[in-house]
Amino acid sequence: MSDSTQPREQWGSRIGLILAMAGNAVGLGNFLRFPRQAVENGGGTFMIPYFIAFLLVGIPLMWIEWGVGRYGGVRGQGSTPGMFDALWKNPIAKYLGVLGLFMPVIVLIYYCYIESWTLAWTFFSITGQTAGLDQAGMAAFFKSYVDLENGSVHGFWLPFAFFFVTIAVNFYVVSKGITAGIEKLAKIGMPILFIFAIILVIRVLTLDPVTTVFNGVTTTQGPLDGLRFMYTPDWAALANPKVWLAATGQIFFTLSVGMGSLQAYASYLTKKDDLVLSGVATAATNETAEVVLGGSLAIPAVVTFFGISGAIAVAKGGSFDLGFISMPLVFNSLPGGPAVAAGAGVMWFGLLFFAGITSSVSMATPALAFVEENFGWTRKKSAWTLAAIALALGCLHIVYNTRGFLDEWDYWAGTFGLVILALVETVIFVWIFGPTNAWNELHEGASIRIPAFYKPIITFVTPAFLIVMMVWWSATEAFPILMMEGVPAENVAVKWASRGVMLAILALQLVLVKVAWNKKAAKGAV
Amino acid sequence: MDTTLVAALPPNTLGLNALLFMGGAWAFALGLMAWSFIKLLSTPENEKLPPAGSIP
Repeated sequence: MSDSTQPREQWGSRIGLILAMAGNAVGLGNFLRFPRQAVENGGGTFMIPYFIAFLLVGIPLMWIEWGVGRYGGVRGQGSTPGMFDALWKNPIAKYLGVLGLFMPVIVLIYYCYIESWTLAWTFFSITGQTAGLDQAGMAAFFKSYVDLENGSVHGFWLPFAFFFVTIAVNFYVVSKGITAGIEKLAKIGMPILFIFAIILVIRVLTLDPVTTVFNGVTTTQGPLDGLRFMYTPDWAALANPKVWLAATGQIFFTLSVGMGSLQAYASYLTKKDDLVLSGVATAATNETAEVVLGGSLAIPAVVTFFGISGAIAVAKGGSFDLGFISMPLVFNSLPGGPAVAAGAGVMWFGLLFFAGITSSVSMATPALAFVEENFGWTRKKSAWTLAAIALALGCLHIVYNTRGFLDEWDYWAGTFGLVILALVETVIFVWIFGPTNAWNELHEGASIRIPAFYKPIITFVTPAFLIVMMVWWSATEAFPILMMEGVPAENVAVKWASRGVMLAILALQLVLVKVAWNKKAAKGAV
Repeated sequence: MDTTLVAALPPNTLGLNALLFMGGAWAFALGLMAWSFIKLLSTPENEKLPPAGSIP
């Protein structure tokens, strides 16, 4: 049981819980990553493996993580070391659970840095700093901000200032606790995010066609061409396993499964709370934000103003180029002048900021719950201590961003690690805890019954998908990245340092888990 | 994706294939969200299924 003498908090309302869970899931990837993935992986046909993965992997993992979280939470455990230990009475379980502490902390730190860009660009939009810039100017403006070594437009201190503010806002929210902090943020931030997105979608889809010249070719296109570009099916893509893995990966990222944060949120549920219907509502809200809103913004806007060839070039440049270079250029081209450009910029970067912060506060929750419950720290003390750590380590990302420091954390913790944790928790909850026990646990307090055909899916199909993903990613990505294939010689030392910091955090967390369980053993609580 | 298919239609046209895929994706996402929220709103928070294992 928990060492903390304070009673565990609970969610204030069901809608607050669902908004917080959806806020956790809806992130920058819904608006920046999804459209690129769809365009690059078969257009309309991408949606077939995407929704199959949603039904066979996304929804089952959503239920598993809510079930694991609540099972641990009612036993006083708000993080995966305690949850896994409660589910599986084996000394190794708590150490496997460290993955659910390690990954959210790692991702939180660099995610807050990226989130700080959205805050900065909201400010730049208000102050008109991106108004009137052409493509080269906008690219230089962005590169100067994210690459301190070649910064020529912004002051050196500016990225640090916005990162500091972002960290302060995040940890102010989490220091207030679940109901007064995270739930309140979700109740304010999620409606604002949806309102901004709906306004922008309406504006983009009602744009008049524009005639452009790209590489000497003159074309006329409108927003519907953007949607056609995105959704026209390429049937050959269905036979490509990479497309299926890309779709499954996108489902992983978009639902924030395999991270440890959903479990932490679910730990504040009670036995009487429904998690089956609430889990579906959360996933469906995320899908609406991603497919209906995220899919109707960036690509149609970029195609309208840059043409399909231009959009392909933008998509190849990456998600951040799409969000921070191309979209401000689109806003500068909107009819109505600088005021409209500023307003659209505030809404775009504002919605990205709310998408980011409602996710990042969830990533802080497992570590805070762990120290509160195992070392008796108050919420404020644990929040501001983690804030100081995030601030210090985040500065490394700011300084070494373009040298691959962030990429290492993003791959090992924010990509590959997600599949590992998802597989471990599925094995522990479904296979070791037992399919029938897991099934009964999911139905405690449930408002609806899960269709019976989901039992074999959760037991066999979901783990099989995860194993295939892990093997494929190990062979095609993890090994070459581990061996630093293609990394410029001048970046190798920075990447090793990046790995060293990650490993140091992992080692520290393993030691903390050992100390916590030694304390429990001394009190006779194990 | 095959951009020649995209270029073959007149400007600012969605096309039947894209419309079907987009409509299907939107209907799935919006339909699931609407169904789940209607179900949530129509189920009082204190009205639950009986405890697991209590139904023979």
